[in-house]
Amino acid sequence: MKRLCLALGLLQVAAGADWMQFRGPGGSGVALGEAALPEIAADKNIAWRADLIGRGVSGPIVVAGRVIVTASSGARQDRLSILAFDVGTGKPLWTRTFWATGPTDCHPKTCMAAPTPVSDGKFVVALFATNDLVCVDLDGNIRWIRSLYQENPGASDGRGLASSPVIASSTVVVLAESQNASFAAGIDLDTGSDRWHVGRPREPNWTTPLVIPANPAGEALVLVQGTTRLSAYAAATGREVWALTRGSHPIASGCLSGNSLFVPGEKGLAAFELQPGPEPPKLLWEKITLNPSTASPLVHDGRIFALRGSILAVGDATTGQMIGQLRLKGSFSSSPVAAGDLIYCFSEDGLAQVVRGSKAALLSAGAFSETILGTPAIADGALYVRSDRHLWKVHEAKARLTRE
Amino acid sequence: MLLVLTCAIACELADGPATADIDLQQAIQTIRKVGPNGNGSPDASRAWRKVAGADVSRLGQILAGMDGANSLARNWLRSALDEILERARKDVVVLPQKTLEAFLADQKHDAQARRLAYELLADMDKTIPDRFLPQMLDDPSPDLRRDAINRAFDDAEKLARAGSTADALTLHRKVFAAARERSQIDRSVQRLRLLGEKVDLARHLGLVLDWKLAGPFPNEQQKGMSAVYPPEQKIDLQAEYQGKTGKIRWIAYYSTDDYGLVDLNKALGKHQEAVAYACTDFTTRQAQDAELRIGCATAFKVWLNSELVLERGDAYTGMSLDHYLARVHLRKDNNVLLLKIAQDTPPPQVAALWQFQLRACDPSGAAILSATRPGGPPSEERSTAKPEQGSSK
Repeated sequence: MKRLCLALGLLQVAAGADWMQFRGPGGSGVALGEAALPEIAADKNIAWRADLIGRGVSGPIVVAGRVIVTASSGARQDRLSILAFDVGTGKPLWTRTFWATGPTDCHPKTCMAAPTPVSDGKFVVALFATNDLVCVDLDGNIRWIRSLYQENPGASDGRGLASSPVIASSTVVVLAESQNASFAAGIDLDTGSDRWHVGRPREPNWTTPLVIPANPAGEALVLVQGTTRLSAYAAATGREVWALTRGSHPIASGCLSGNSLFVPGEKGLAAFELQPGPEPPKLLWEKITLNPSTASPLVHDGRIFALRGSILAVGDATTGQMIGQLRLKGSFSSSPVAAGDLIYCFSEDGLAQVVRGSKAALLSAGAFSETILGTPAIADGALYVRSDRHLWKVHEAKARLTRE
Repeated sequence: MLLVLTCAIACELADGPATADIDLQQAIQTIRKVGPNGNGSPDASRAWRKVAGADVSRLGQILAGMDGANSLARNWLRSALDEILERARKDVVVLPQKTLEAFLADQKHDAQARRLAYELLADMDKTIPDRFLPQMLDDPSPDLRRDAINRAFDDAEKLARAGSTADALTLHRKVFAAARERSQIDRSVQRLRLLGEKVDLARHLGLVLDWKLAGPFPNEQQKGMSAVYPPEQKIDLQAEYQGKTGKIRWIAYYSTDDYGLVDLNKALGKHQEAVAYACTDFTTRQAQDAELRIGCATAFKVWLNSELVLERGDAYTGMSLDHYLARVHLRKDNNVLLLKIAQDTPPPQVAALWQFQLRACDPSGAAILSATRPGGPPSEERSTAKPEQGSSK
């Protein structure tokens, strides 16, 4: 157990204060040690606003003084862009645009810039729903480019793919799972070549892999939340270390808190205790009333927050017991994020609702008045929010709260 | 000493651009060698910095480097142009307009690179659309063609509003002939029909209307798509099969829908968890490459001359014209197309669609018609399904 905790600690330290992947440090949705603002809106506490050249369901990431977002544009959504902005000023630093090499058909709600990019602090890897995968350095210099659609013919989804890549053991792990050709792959961050490639079930799945603590052999593990099989792969080799046959949620991704794993599923949100060896995790409890609809759940300060339609359900992370629920406004695709005691929930129509987590009480609501589907980023006490047209930095030093 | 220095500077000035050209060309060639699985990336990454560091006067050379390159290499070069253009904007350097115009005008260049050149030009010179788009109705670049068609459509509307009906009709006909995208086609057809024009939309698009259908076969738990039923082994239009609900035979079906929709619910009746087969002959006078473009609401498979050419498992993801594409080679004379279409249980509140549409076309979307395509069936056969009496067409 000590080893497990040590490994988790290393993961968190490595993540730093930046927000470098889907749902930030460890895919948790929780900013490490940051306080943030109790009131936000498009006209309140805005440090800067930048124009975006295209649509995006992806979230921004924050790396080494840069905010990086992806966007897709063009009549067929076939122009794929990575954009970098200066954190301090919002000034555009560079843009790299690519032509889609895979199909661009999708549900009108989403677009080709659906997966959130990921960084290890030196490089940025952007995946698009066309299965185009690009690695650049922080100055936009190209390292490598892959067309995973051309290499895996048929690997597309008429509704649009959305799983975000993660990085573990210098390996970029991608998951492309649909009712068509499906695969997971581990790609060498340095060279762009495959370290491993495994076929996956032909089942709809938009979840993002989750880096979980290394096993005693020191192998970094990545959880792949298949809709019928929950698997942990060794990130560097693709070896399936353990697996559970069970129905998991195809959209809302799981999250980790300590050595507890929370996975949305068919029968409810399931809590597992990770085991130190090669054994699969032990099921602790399942709770249907804590199972999220679309947005991924958040575990913070011993509590679970799950958006079920417009209801924010709050439960005890240890027991699964319900603590309360709060009716918010709107429907949610963006996953909730937390800083200090504040939980930020952005509805699809751009209403930012700030909840005090410890009291499960709504603090404020502020309008951004644009469609927001991407999960925001939090770094250095600032929120970074993107719509299809704009990227906002929400920050006001004077108004910062200290954590209670 | 002064003479030596002057000569050295003169030589450098004389050799500089040529040397730069060679270096740039070598870098472009290195990038063009990239392949799948990250192959060539380390070298290409170094070459990318050289290309991205090139002077803006080299835009034409870099754009031309995309000609015939694979899609990965074109993206490497495309992104290097971003760096060059960002630097030019920052340094307020004017782009080489004449070079870009010459590149745009030459249809032999890469279609996407030409579109990029067009956008760069249009940003710097507002006369570019007026000067170039009228000649681009049949441009190989779908993006340039789209803009040209939109512009011509607007021109036709202006003519109509000015009372020049005949000229408007002539231009609308040209627009329709050139249109390849659904939204532009729909708008064009609507306008032509308002002007009294008869339009055979299905023929224009190359939609296949004449089918033989067999079904339903079982598809419990979606196992029917992997099951091999007799039509996959041998197409015998006289055969009788054991189907999901009893004996079944091939029936003839002729779609009268503008977009060639084949509605299996109407043709075969409504069934849950079923699959059906659709078969047709497609005759060409010469062997040629073609695209089969398919819209289908559920999972399907397509065979051409017994070879599986496309398989999709998507169900209820939204049906649209040209949603799926298979690049195929049609042999001279007779080709046999076979489709297998699943009927799955739809999600709640979604209609149980069981339908498809298929067209054959060239890469630009222009129709390829079967040599035996009828001008139109006898009126009593239209929109009907009846037991097959003879052999396939």
